Amino acid sequence: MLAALLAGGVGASAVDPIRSGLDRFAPLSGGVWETATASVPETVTTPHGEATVRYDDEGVPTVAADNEASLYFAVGYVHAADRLFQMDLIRRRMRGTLAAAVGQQVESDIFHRQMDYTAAAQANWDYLSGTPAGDAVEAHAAGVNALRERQPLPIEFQLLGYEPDRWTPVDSMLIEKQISWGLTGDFSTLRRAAIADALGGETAERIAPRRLDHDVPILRSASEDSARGDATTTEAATLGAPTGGDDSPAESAALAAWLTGFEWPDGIGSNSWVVGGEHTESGRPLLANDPHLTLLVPPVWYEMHHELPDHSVSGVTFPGQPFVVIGENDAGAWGFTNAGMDVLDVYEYEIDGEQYRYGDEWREFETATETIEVSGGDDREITTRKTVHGPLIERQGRRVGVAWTGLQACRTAEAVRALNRSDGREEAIEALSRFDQPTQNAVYADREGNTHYHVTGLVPIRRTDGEAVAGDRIFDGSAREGEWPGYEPYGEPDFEDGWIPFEEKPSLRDPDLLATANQRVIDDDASDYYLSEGYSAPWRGARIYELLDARAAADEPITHAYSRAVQLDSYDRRAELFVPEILGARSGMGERAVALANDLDGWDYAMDRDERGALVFELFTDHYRQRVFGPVFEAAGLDESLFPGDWITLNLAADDPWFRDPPAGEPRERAQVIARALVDTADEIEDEGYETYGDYNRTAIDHPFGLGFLSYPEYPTDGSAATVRNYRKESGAGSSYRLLARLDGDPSQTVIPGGNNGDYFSDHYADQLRAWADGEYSSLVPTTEGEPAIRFRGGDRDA
Amino acid sequence: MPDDPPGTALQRLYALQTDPTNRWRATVLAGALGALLATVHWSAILVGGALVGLAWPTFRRALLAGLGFGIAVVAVFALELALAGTLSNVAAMGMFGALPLAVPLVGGPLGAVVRGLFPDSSARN
Repeated sequence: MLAALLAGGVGASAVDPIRSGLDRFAPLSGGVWETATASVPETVTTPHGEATVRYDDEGVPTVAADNEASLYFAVGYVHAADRLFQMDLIRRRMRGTLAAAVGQQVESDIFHRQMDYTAAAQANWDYLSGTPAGDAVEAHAAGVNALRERQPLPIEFQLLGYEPDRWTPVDSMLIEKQISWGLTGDFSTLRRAAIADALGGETAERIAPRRLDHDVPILRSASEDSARGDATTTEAATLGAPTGGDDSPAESAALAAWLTGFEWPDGIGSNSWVVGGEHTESGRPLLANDPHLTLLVPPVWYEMHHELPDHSVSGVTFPGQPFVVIGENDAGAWGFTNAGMDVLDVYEYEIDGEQYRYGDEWREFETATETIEVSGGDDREITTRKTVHGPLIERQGRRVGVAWTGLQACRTAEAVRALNRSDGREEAIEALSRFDQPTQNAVYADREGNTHYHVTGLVPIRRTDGEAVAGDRIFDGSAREGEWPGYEPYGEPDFEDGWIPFEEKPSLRDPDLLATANQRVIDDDASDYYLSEGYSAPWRGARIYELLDARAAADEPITHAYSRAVQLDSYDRRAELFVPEILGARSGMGERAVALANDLDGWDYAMDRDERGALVFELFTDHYRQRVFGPVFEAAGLDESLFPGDWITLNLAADDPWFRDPPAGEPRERAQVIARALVDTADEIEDEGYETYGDYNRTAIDHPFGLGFLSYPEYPTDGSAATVRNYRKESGAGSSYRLLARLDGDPSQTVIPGGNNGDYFSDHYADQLRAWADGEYSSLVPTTEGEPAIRFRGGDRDA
Repeated sequence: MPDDPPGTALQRLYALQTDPTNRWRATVLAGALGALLATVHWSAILVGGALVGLAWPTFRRALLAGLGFGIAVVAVFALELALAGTLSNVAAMGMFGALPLAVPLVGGPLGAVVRGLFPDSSARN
């Protein structure tokens, strides 16, 4: 019996899952624990030259080097040391090989292979290779691989049981594509078409308008620097059935809902502002930026300092990309927010088997058969198709072609490298002129006192029969509608022709006060170019302008502390708009609804953690939206992802036809809908045991694995989706980096929501999260003293 | 066995098991060897448990010794983590953090089961 027990025990350990588990989790030898006890090698020999790395108290590295190659080799090394799994996960997602590692991601792999971002990244690398920026990317990739060969793999690789491939420059280009896709990959056209198909064009115009009615665009004066082109119409299409194809509303809605899953969550946006020296205490400009992105473990951004003999630059990089994207250098500071330019069009075709009509000819789809490997499941074979416009996206019988500026090579890496090295405004503007993707609102201020605003990125001038047209419709690709001259999917475009010239994009030289928060860039009648299918609601933009204007009007200087207060402002203009409506409807409410509405009475609209009113209002808005749109959308077969945002929801007047004469279902009184939503809210508060906003509004930043120990702790915080201090609990998005740049000689301030190091065992895994939640910052100062943590020595060793 | 010639391996093992000083020396040596090898491969936990168990004169005491070896491995592992400053991180890993405890606490006694393949020295005399 003992022999049997012994044999059984030893035999069981030979079973693959058990043996694999022991390989990973046995004490002393388990692969998982290697990272718990390993430290980054202190000396690295490379052929790229000498460099040093010093970390500050928050694990933010300062990389100092003699030349660019050694600098970016070291940057790649520390990126890999702290973020290798994150980098690998992104490239897997973009290559469509996620299921091979984690299983259950087949739909994601299908979409990403249909889009063929890898070919787009390859085109990018073909363009960039051999340029100084390309050399930097190559050195960076070599640094990543040097670390990968020396260090135990992060715990995530051990848990999943695979080893990452070598890092390549194309992978770095995929990182860039991922960011560009997240910020500009927008299928609004399809969503609007789905709503129009189901509810009619007139209703769609009301609940999904292209423009929101407000008067706080980024460029508030039509006479400001924005140049006037003469070649493009801004006339928008009338919503209605798509111009091509005969798909059913259900198919349209299904495709739109499916594609929504591959866009970044609703509400991705950002804040930035620049204040000229005439309004500041120091006489030097102030600049602030906080990009609102999906909050992840680890964070999207990696903070660092780059020190070369001829320039220093500090700020945040994307792990996997060598350059500082947002930050400051010796000469100035810069930041970005999403501009909302329309750089994606959708096409339908007349299709016959494997051919589609394009003008007078029938063309074969460019097809490829690919096998998606699935971890723990059966491999799946798919056929991808491309047209002259780019990928053909197929879903449940619906097929649309997609043209997107990101499918072609771009000069963004060159632009960001040049921005890092810029010595003032003129060089920064020159750098921005090559920032092809994504389209952004760039703000800049230098230590000489100059300020600047410019929309960046290639924005196509679409043409149908030679005439410029707006891109807010589904084009008939077979009729050659909406063609983009200069566009070259999966190749190098003509950068100079077919796009809105850089000089004619919205811009402003020497703005004294300018705020961007993804709102309308410029009034349509102030630009002869079609720019965007839709912008974000102006809640934040209007508030920032209100605060900055008030200070300037009072003739009080805008200080660094004031700029900080603006960035942490939690006043919710949604509440200012709608709380009076709720209070005014109390007379027709039941007891529970009135009791809850009374909690809003006297509230100052601050979305602060200790506020009861903030809790009630935040939960109410979602229930109200559900009550307003849910029944009709459900009857029409429309997915909840197509619900209008808060601006439309809260601005629907009591006498709006949506209530009195809805496209489906019975007429309703808005007051009744408000009352019911309040009861829903009361139920939720009771069920969850919430008392104040901080009970609900807690950081919920999870690791992709969903394992509790890898996710960040939950802390109460302030802010909402509509406040300047931005946190979107439901979509898991918010301020992914807060930068308060000052150009008066004192240090700028920053914070990221989490920690700089993605290694679970690091002290810097989540060490900035509490500060972020509490609105605290650290000084952005390079570490130049003390013994380096890592020394890179010149030599022949690998890399 | 009575007819086992003196000086055979088995006789020497019995001699070691019945001499308290040598038994403890052998236990410590076997444990240290097992722990050292366990830094290379987990199967050394079974081997270490077996070697430790063989140093003890009865099967029951051998199992206890195997358990003691498992506890020692856990202690060494915890010390290694503590020195690296990651002990609390591992403790917070829930089920995953419990696995490195379970493996030696099961593996040590399981290896010591080998001791049961040999009769106790007292039973042979």
